[in-house]
Amino acid sequence: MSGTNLSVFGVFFGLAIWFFFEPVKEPFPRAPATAEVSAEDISTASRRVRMSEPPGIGENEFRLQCQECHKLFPSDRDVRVKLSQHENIQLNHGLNSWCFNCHSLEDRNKLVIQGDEEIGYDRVEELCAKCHGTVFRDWQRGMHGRTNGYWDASLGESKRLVCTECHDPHSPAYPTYEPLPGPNTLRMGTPLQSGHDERKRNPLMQWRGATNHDSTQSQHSKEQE
Amino acid sequence: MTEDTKPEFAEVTSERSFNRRGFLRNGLTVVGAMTACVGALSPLRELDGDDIPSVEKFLQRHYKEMNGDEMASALDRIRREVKKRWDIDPIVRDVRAKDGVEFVYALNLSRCIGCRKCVHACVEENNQSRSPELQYIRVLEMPRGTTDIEKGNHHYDRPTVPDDDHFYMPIQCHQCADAPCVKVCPVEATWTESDGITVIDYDWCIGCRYCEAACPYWARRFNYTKPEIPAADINPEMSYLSNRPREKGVMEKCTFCLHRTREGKMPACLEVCPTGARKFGNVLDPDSEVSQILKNKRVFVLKEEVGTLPRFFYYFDERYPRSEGTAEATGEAK
Ligand code: HEC
Ligand code: HEC
Ligand code: HEC
Ligand code: HEC
Repeated sequence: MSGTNLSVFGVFFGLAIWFFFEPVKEPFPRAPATAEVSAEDISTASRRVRMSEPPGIGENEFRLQCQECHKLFPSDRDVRVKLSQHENIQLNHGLNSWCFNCHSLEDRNKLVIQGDEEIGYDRVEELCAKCHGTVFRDWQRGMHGRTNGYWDASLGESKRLVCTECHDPHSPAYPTYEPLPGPNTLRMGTPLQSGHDERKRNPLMQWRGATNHDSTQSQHSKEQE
Repeated sequence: MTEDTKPEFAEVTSERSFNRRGFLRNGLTVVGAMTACVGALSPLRELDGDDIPSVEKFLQRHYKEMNGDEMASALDRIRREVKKRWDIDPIVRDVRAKDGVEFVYALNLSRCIGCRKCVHACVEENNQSRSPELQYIRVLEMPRGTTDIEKGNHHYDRPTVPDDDHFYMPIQCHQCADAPCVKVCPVEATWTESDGITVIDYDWCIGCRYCEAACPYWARRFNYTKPEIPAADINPEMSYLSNRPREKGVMEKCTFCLHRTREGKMPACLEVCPTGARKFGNVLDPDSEVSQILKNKRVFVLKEEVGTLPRFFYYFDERYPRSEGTAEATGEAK
């Protein structure tokens, strides 16, 4: 009788001491915090600033409209000159390698579209439409490019980016970007330091103790057999 | 002999139960049990006040059952809690679905370059926990020629993107029309609203994580610990069903930024996309961007065979810009 009581007491007392002091305390594993990104990294501004109308080059009081120079020396339609003035222009637009496909020969403040019609730089999308009809139609319907602001026109304004706010007309292919930091989440697995074997980075694959998805699957099927 | 003495002995003890030995014995047991109780409860010492719901919150009813006054006081409570924790005066609202609106998202896989700007813009907009990190959007780097998301890798880390041998596929909540997460929730803390957005009442969620397991797109996130957000990063424009701060032990996920989109704005991930791969709008409006895409592009959904009817569509443009990949990448999409 007293033996049972004492041992019950002993168990309780032991447990009490254990709970109270909890000799081994496992801290909750905490994943690293989200990497800081600058406001600039997630700015909603367009990638480029498009040419204003009327067009010009230079800054502020040194800004000259194209035609202010170009009215002084007409260019030759057929003779291609090596540029000394606009050295920053590198034309890398596929087969479209002639300045006057786009710029007007007579009035350098204008762009040319079909039928030699001249348009201002504020209608630049019509220039691109001359050769990129399909993409232009997609853009008109909102399937290419980006619309910022309100999807509901009755509630606010929206702004559809124009071609040259994303593409450089002289070198229209998209540039590469430095990606923002990837996930660190516990649930998403910890990133691997060495970084070469991408499969190892997938937490699910790590937990299964396999380096390779396919090999895990074959393991499973073997077990079933 | 023994048979004779036994009852006698029993009689004696019952008569004089308060003898010294008995007292000590029982006393020790009681003391031991009490210490054990105290000991067992001792982890409660680590509870900080915020872990215990206030009476007000405890008595709060389900989102759909609250009347105007109750909602107003719930919003006010949230305001006070935010003020107390971060010393910020937030604008907390309950933004309701509008009639004649059903949201749809479309994502152009020919354009996405995997820059992850959407991921981080989303974190900022939706007051997601910074520590531990929690993100709604996963950008998968996919080998060309498949749309099997199991083959994707979201930890890619390159000096520059895109990589020529891969394409990029962001995944977030698909706002399914037949959402498995809604079906498994034992307490109806998550449901699909009339405009197609699946929402969570964070105050009703019990944290069982059934929905997380049910989601075939791995789009739901659980708060294992108290979400930490630096005060400077808090977005003060909050709504009850979307980006108000969450507690430990509840689920959360993408809500198509309903606090923005229900008021006509575009979601944060779209606004920031440098390539214009992300498209959003009202499918019930035939002229909306998404309606045009559903009409003119060959769209597809992920894991169509599981029958979740997602409102999140993917498509490739006919001409795949970055050489090779074209045929294979679109081939799987059929
Ligand atoms: C400071 C004067 C100046 C301004 C301003 C100027 N240009 Fe020029 N541009 C020149 C000169 C000089 C040349 C001839 C280059 C050469 O011969 O090396 C030239 C050449 C060109 C050519 C190539 C013509 C050819 O003969 O092949 C184009 C196209 C052109 N400019 C467009 C523009 C546009 C568009 C603007 C306005 C945005 C502009 N220029 C503004 C001075 C100017
Ligand atoms: C695809 C049509 C196209 C072709 C071809 C083209 N341009 Fe342009 N150019 C434009 C457009 C559009 C702009 C306005 C740029 C903007 O909005 O940023 C422009 C702007 C310019 C400018 C002023 C902007 C700046 O960055 O300095 C110069 C100078 C210029 N072009 C020169 C040339 C020259 C020289 C050539 C031939 C080598 C040429 N362009 C070929 C379409 C074209
Ligand atoms: C005179 C016809 C013409 C005009 C005008 C023109 N392009 Fe192009 N563009 C081309 C050709 C040709 C190609 C090359 C196609 C190829 O290589 O497959 C091209 C290619 C492109 C590409 C793909 C580049 C790549 O490498 O992926 C883009 C983007 C582009 N153009 C944008 C524009 C924009 C923006 C405008 C308007 C500012 C414009 N283009 C105006 C003819 C034109
Ligand atoms: C939001 C930015 C954005 C805007 C605005 C935009 N584009 Fe693009 N465009 C892209 C991206 C991103 C690509 C993919 C390019 C790449 O991968 O190199 C692209 C690709 C293209 C291509 C390559 C062909 C193809 O089908 O892939 C053409 C041509 C093109 N754009 C023309 C235009 C024209 C014309 C406009 C205006 C009517 C325009 N773009 C507006 C982002 C934009």
